[in-house]
Amino acid sequence: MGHGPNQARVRFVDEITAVVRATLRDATVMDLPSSIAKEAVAITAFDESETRQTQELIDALIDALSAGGWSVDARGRRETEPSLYAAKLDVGGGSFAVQSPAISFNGLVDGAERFG
Amino acid sequence: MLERLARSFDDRAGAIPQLKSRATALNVGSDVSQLPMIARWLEDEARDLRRRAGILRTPSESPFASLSKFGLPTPTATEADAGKKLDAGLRAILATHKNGTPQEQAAAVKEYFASLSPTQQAVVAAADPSFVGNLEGVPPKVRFAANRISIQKEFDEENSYFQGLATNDPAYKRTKARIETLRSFLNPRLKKTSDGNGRIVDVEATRQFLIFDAHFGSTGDPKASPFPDGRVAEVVGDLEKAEHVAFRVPGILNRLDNFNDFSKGGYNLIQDAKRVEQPDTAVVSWLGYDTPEVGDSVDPTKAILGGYQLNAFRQGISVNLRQDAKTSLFAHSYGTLVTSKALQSGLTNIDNVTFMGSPGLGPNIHSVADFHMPNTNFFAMRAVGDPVSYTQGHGDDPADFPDIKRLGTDGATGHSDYYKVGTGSLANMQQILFGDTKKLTFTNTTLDQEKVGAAEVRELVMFLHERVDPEVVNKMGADLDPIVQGILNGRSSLKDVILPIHSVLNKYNMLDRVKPDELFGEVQKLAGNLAYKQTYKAAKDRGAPDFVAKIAANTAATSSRGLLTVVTWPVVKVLEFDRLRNNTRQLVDGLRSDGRKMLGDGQEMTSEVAQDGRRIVSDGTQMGGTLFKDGGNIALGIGDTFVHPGHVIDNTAGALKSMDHAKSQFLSKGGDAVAAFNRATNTVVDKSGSIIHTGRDMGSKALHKGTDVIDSALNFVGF
Repeated sequence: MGHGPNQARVRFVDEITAVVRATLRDATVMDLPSSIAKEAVAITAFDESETRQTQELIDALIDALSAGGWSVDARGRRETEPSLYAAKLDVGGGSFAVQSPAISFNGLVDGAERFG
Repeated sequence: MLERLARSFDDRAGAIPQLKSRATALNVGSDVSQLPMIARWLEDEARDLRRRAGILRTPSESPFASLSKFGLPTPTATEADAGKKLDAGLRAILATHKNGTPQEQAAAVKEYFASLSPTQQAVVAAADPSFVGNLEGVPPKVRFAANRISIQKEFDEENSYFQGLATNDPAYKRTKARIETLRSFLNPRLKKTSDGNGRIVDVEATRQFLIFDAHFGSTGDPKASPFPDGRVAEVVGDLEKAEHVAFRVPGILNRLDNFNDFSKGGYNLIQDAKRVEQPDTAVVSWLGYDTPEVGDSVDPTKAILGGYQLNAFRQGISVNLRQDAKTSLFAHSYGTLVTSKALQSGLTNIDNVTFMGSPGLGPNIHSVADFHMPNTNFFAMRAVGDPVSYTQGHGDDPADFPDIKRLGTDGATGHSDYYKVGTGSLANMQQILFGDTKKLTFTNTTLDQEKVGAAEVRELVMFLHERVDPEVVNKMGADLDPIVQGILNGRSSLKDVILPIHSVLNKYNMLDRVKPDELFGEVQKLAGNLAYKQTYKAAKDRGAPDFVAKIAANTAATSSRGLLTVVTWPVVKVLEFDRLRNNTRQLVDGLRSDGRKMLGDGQEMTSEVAQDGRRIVSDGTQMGGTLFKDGGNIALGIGDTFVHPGHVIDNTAGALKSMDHAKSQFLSKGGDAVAAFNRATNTVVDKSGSIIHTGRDMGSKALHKGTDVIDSALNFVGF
């Protein structure tokens, strides 16, 4: 695997995409410019044939994240705007939002140096 | 020599079309296919040689030579002496008409000059060039000649100053630029015209300056340049014969030393599609007001004054134009605000007005109708990515007026491309000026279509403007502008602006108006809006049904807001701490100053009542005893007020009650005692009213600030 900021971003996008596809199998996945920062990653996916309700979708997302080695913090979930935070060491972290049939993510690459 | 070389290049280039034809006739055309390219190279080189020749010429022209450049005769020595007398005659005419309108004054001046012979006109121009050159009503060619004399004189003086500067002097660069500009004013410019054979050639033309004052205006940065901005107006074409006349008004940062950048737009404007200057048209590039620097570009003061100056110029120059001349005004950037002020101060004799890259036309102008000029056509342009238009620092963007004709600007981007050759913006201006308005192109692009983020930036600026004091808006704008420009230029993201904006609010003591959580909330909302728009469009582009695209856009907005919360948490915490400190400081300061006022009022009341009390006592011990007892209550009440601000109301009410009781004791005794008593009562009512007011004010401030302090503290620790 290559190193450097671009490679890290590519890996980050790949990992998020994998999680999203594990949740919404036939989704159209869009990697768009983030409104927060140039360096942020913003991915939104939708599948108009999806029939599951939002709650089910969130649960499926959490399962996919956990299976992928992500840490999940869903404490701030609200019924009106279901969302959660997730992070994976050496990859990155950010905010997911879910509303069937769409999932969106905004996050930052983990660029921290680790010692020891 | 350079000119001779340039001419020989032109001749060679001119011969090439003929050579190509002969080659084609001989069936060897393909062997000489490079000839057109060689012709273009020769023309470019000739142009460059002429430019270099111009630079090398150090102007050194006598006043009489300047006069002859514009066809004025060279006076003899005897005739020259008459200059002062004629100048005095001119000033006398002006004195007679000193209460006249600018047009009336100009007409009187024109009439005076018409009574002079050409030699006399030359004499008075040479005698007082700076006065004659800038005076409305003087025939244009006389003004051109007079100003040319002034320019040479200025060049000599400033060149002498420049020669004494070391290359590392802070003033070296700008002074050098100014010298070069003055030199270029005296050297001919190149203009395209048709020669007798239908070829388009470059010819030299003497530059024509209708206004020249090198010592006008403010000095933005004395270290960078000790000279003030200056006033200049250049004319291209024949002003007196032109059927179509344009006036161009520039924006900020325009000065004498960079005037050529501004005037170039005028040369472009007067050219047709083949870049030949239209013979029936004249363009005036008018730098006739004191333009702001970046720091005061958010202040409308210079625009208000500039508006009067522009109006006076328009009225004055009218005596030199054809009666049937069609007039158009083209204003750029801050110049649109100047123009708006001019229109509102009486400049109504104009056929067309075009605003481009406008930061707004003033807080009272929201539509064309607000100008009340039904006989004038109004146009606006906003190029893609023009940040000045997005910030609306001076009011509503005219490009968004419901009743304006919004012109297309194809090929122009940013703030400074409107006059660029090949753009839709320049083509439209030429159609307005001397072309066919049926060929105008229009547009109705939205901010979202022009620049991602522009609508959000505009909302952010409005959010701040609505919350701060109006007198602070202008001052704060100077600090805010770089921040919002940073977002528009992509140098900073929304997440990066919270702290800088907070610093600006802190600088102007406006933190109370925009709390950190409100500012964060607004930025969060805008980030969400931006994410929504981008995602909605992307989803639609990928074939999503509308309801799906909206849902996808919603999730994008939610996730972006979620990320923003996380990445700005440390910043918001810092701001909340700032606010906690700020509120605490204000509370303490308020208590100190209001407490002092209450103390002062209480002391005054005590002393006045005590004086009156003593007077009453002298009328009788019985009454005195009662009064002292009541007086004692009153004194006590006031004393208590010092210690317990919250008891002000109770104490004063008690004091008044005591006074009423004492008063009733004396009513039956009548006379002076009652009068003295009433005065004491009135004193109590008057002073206690003030104390109550101050106490209530302080109390409510304390409550308010105290609540803020508590809120701030709770927020800070995360509750």
